[in-house]
Amino acid sequence: MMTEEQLKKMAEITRGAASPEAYKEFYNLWTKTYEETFGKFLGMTLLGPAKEITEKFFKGFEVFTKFYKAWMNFYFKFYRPWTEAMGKMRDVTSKMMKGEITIESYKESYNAWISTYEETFDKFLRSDEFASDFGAFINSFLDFRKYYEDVSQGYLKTMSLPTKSDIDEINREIHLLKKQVRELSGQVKALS
Amino acid sequence: MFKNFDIDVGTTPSEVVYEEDKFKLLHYYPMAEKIHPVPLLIVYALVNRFYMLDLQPDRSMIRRLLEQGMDIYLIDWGYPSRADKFLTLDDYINGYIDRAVEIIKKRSGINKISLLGVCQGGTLSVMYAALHPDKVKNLIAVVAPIDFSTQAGLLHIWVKYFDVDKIVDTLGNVPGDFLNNIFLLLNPFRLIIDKYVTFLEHVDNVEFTKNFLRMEKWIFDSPDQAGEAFRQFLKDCYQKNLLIKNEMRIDGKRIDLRKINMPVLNIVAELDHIVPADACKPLEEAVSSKDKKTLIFPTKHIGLFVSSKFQKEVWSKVGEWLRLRSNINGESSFTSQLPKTTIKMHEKNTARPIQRSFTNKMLKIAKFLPEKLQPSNFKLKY
Repeated sequence: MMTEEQLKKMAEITRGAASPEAYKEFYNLWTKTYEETFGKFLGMTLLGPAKEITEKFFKGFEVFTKFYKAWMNFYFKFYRPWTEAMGKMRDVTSKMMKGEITIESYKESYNAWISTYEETFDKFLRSDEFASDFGAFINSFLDFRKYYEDVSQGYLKTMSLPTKSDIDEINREIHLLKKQVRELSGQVKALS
Repeated sequence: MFKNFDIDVGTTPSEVVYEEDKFKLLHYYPMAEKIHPVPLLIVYALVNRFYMLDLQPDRSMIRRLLEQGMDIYLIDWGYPSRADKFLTLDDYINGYIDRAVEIIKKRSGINKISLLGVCQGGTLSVMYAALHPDKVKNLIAVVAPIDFSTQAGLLHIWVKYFDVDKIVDTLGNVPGDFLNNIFLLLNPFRLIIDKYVTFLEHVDNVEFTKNFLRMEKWIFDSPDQAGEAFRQFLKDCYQKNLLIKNEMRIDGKRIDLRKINMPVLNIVAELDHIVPADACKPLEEAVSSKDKKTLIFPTKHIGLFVSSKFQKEVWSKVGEWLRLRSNINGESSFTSQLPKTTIKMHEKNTARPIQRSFTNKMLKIAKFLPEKLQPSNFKLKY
């Protein structure tokens, strides 16, 4: 389903003169529309005996959309320093490649390419904006993974197979017991 | 180029003198005629493997110190599995490190040992020395972060935005590959592209290729991080910066850096992009020791261990510093008495002495085998 605003943006893009921001804007509009339509529908409270399992299943769409959105947002942020570095590089290369082109000049050009990109990206990676998007991307990835694990655990339970939580519970018990045994052995040793 | 290169790392002969869970305590065979009486325990980081300190014979911090008469023990943390998810910093510091110290004390018959910690292992050693100053004669911190407030390193900036609880609650143990990808992002163009372009330029040089492959092996040989220890380290150190404020607690006990009163040597790499120099330097100010010194070298994080120039310079200075502080009650700083050893096999670090004794035992057993199975009918490779 596309809104009028989305159609306008799409027309702008297809005319061939769209900036990367226009693509991003189009994507944001699409996401917003999805959230307000299908997103709302899939997030609805359900009724009946299959309520729990169906709600959990539908939740997967929301978690995946959020993960995809954060991923795209994170990915898109790399575009700016990339184009900035490309611009800087264009100037450097045009100066370097004048006259005779030798293997050394290619090497020099490569070195300049690496240094320019390194410098431009370092500035970008150092920004709070990047750090914040990076944190958000990792969070949404973890939500997605958690959801996937929860669903898998549900299936394992129905088949009477041990789940991650079951194994963790045993591991925790063993860890505490080992600790206790060590402490008690130490006390016995001190007494003897 | 398509040759299969066999590369060895961590080849300095050692034996395992104690093991518990994934943790092993290694003792290196001496390489000098006279040995310092105060043993040195090396604590490496939980991230990556200890053999960076012994990458190859001519680039080995361990060999350089052994050649100077040090009696060296080292903690091999191993590869934590899901069973180790609940290990805390308390388990690492007051558990494993403390037990290693006690074993070394018993074997050498002295009350205090020297402690050398590298990177995160340095931070753990500093915490240990503050909690157990009575057991540490000398403390050496090598590229060890203490003050995490610096914004000089990207890790310090990024970690502030990480939801550490969510990471540990979801992943359990934090996968080594997850951390590797973060490390690659610190300098993507150098670490993902330029490094391999440089490799291709020198690929016909066998020694260069072998050195490169050793480094490559080390970089991507990353153990998973025990979840609970990772949680506390990141939250208390990177996010809240409690250690330098003397507010961090391990098992309820406060870590007060002012309790560190033994001689302290702080080794800093000025161009370090993983542990910035600013994160290491404050150690000297934070401790109450009278005998303390910071040495700053113009190199990067691992340059201290693998750069042919720096590794010689740094470790001869460290050896000299230790030698001057290894006297016991005014006695000579050397002794030729070595502790008795219990020999056990150790994966790759077995080296010849153990391998030979094992083979000799096998040959004795083989005497009872039928003719066809006698070892002389097989080719034995040492």
